[in-house]
Amino acid sequence: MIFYGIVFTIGAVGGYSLTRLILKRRERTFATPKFVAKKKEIVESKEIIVEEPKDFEELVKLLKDKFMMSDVTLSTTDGFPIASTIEDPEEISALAPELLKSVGRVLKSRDFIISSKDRKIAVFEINPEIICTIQADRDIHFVEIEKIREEILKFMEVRA
Amino acid sequence: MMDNYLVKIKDKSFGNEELKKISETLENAELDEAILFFGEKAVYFKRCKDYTLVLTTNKRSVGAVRFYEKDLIRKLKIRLKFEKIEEIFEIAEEVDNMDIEEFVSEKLR
Repeated sequence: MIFYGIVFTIGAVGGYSLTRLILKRRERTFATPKFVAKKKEIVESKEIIVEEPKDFEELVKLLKDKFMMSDVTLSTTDGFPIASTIEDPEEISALAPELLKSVGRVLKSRDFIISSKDRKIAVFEINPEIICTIQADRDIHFVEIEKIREEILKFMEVRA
Repeated sequence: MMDNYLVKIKDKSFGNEELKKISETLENAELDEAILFFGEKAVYFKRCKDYTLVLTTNKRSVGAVRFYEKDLIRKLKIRLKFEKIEEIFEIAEEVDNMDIEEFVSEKLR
């Protein structure tokens, strides 16, 4: 009986000491400057405020980054560039209404994706005044086209 | 982005006076709407019943001129409305500060 009592006491004291030791060590690990810095970095990265685009230039840059496209171009239905991530958007802007007219007529659609071996171009109408052309080195899905259209219309609503 | 603009609404003009010459030249040519390209720059001209507008922009964003135009005219019309309201307040203040006899004699004059 006495033996069991001693074993129980030693076990309890030993367990308590061991748990305390583990907790203290863990506390020390969490208090290291490296850990604190990492934690701060994570918290700060969560606090990044997504700014609303102020103009069309900012909007196309944002869409390019958000949807991971190679290029995004907005142009008018008469072929003038509104904003683009391409350095010389004149050519694609002039081509977009023509593509929409010719290819769109064949496909009977105002949204379509042209695909080559390693490049995809999507041309779609935002409204009767604006056409969007997106280019990517990967597959483009119609869901993405819908999302991009929504974002552009939302931006235009806020601006108007 | 829009670089410069000149808007004439009735007898008032707003913006950069340096564009006045371009505006007059195009008005004399009896044009209602035009886009002119000068190297990297583009000039947009529009004349309608309510206003005459000249604005310059980069040729990369020349398609956005109609949006700039809409935005600009809306803001300027609001400014004009406020100017009218301010004028009313100024007249009201003048009347308020006037002597009643002076006010009556001025009205009877």
